[in-house]
Amino acid sequence: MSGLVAVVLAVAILMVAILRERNRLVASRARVRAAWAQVDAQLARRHALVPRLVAGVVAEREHERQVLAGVHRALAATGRDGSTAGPTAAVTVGPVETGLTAALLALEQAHPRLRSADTTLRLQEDLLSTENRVAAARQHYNDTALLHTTAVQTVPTNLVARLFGIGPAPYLDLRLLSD
Amino acid sequence: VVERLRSAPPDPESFFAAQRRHRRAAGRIAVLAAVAAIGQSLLVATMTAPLTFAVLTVGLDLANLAVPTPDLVQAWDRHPARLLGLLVGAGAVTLLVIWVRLRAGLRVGLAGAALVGGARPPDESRLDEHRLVDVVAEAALAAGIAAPRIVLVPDGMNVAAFGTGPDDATLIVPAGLIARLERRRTAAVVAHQVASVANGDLVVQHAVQALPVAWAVPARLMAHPFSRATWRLAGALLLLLLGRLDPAREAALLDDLLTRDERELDQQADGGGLVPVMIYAAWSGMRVLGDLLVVGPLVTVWVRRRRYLADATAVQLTRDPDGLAAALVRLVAERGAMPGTGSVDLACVVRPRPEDAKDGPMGGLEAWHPPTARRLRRLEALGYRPSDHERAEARAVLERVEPSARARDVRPPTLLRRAVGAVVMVVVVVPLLAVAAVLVAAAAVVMLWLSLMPVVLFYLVPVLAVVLPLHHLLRG
Repeated sequence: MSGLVAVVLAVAILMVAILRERNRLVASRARVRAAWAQVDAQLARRHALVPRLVAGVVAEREHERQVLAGVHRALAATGRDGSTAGPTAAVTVGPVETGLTAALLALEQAHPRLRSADTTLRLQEDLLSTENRVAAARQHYNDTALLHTTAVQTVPTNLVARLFGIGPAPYLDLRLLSD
Repeated sequence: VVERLRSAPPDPESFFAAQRRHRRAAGRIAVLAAVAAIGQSLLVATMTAPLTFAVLTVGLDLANLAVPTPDLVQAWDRHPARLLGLLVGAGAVTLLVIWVRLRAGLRVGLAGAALVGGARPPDESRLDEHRLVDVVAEAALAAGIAAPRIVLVPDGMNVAAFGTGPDDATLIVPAGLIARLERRRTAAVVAHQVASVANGDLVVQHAVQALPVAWAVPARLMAHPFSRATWRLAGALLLLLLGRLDPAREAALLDDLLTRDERELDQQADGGGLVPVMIYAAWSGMRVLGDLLVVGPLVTVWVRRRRYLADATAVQLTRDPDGLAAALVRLVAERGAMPGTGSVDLACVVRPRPEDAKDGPMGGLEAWHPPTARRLRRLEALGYRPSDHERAEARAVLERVEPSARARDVRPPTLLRRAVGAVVMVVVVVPLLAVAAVLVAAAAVVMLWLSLMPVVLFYLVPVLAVVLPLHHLLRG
């Protein structure tokens, strides 16, 4: 009788242990999948963001360049001391300068504290962070996959993993990315 | 080759192995700390037994008017030991409930002290704050948790984390830090705190902060049941449990409960009655013997382990042990300044050590943070390779700011020194420590019970003077 109780108890403990390990493996597989989804999300973010970021900065630069070119032309049209070459020149320069002032003001108002140096720094930071985020997501995926695969392939959890058909997770390398 | 071998770290290991080791060690200490905390809670429950007796007796007597209930005064005559066990058990359960509720109620904890003046969310139109947001997001991605919220405070050179868990975490970052620290080092410091959050340290912080508070509450109630301060305290606790206490007041409440005992005792000794003085004397004795000598050191060792664990996890997140080590040295060089009172310490990356701060009687052993030199050495095992210049700089900084931590910790030890150290440790230090621990534990237990018993008896007299007439009135 007590022998039977002992056997039943042992089987029950074994079952509980197996189910516990299975739950841990399932949880770790879920973490691997979530990490993979995060890699996807970061790649999508980069794909959408980088062209927009660059385009925005290029447009801003182009605008600035035009304004600066206009300033140069206007300065070239005036003399060194601010005198113009003549009445006709003054007539042509006047409207240009007025337009330029408006453009400069617009630039100033649109980006009160930004200069192109700051914009470039910001672009650098955004690009750097975007790349870092992709790298961080990949690294997290690989770390998670490493822990999962180790659990799946080491004794005794490998038996549980085989029993419930939980496989190792592939590592993320360049081959996988080029697919 | 010889030169490279010589500068190689003592035990190169992967951060995963280091994490496993720290986790296991922290787990062992946690078990010990839990046992000590349970012992301490039983002492507090014993101290509050008269109060529990009064409440239970009157409660049961009142219930007796409707339904027949057991008579505790009679039970005291028949089975005093069994009744005492029941009272201590009931007191312990009450403490447990208070502790659990406090844990749930604490949201910012002691870190709230840092939020008192000028805290604000980051302004992403500013490049350095934009960069901080990026850095936090990157670390959180690498750790696989949601990005913690960020709160900027005006000045300081430290980062603190608070919240209730990985899903509800906030980093307190001084604007001075992001202005003065370059991106790589900011990333390393932030990674330490994100790693700490991902490892579940906030749960630990909550438990650690709520425990002494739970013990202090009954002592306050017993010593001054009718004083206005006690009722203010009760009101604040109620607000805390309802989640309606703002961070600054929450921190003030904790600070009050954790540090005011001694002052309170002095005031009481001036003009108060005998009973409160006795209670506070016993309470202080308990704090010194139990809390500070037994539970305190265990919890401190535990928290320090979690710091090492967070360092190892931060290296996993950034793969940059050099950046973390350099950042730690830089933060220590600026004394890890953090706004708010000293009790923010627990939540910080490095120990804040204001210029005028002195080590307590324990010579820095009571600090929540391991000596920075040790942290650097453990980082060396994870791949930190300081140049001679960096090593000298780190040593200079540590000698200036942490003079009590020995400077030799910065140098990697030779094989001979490690062997001698191990032998000395096994043959001399461990037996001595074991003997000392047994002696301290025995002395603590004896003295605690000796000091507790008169308090319980003294308190019992006024309690009985109120309860017994009421009891006879109610039971007819």
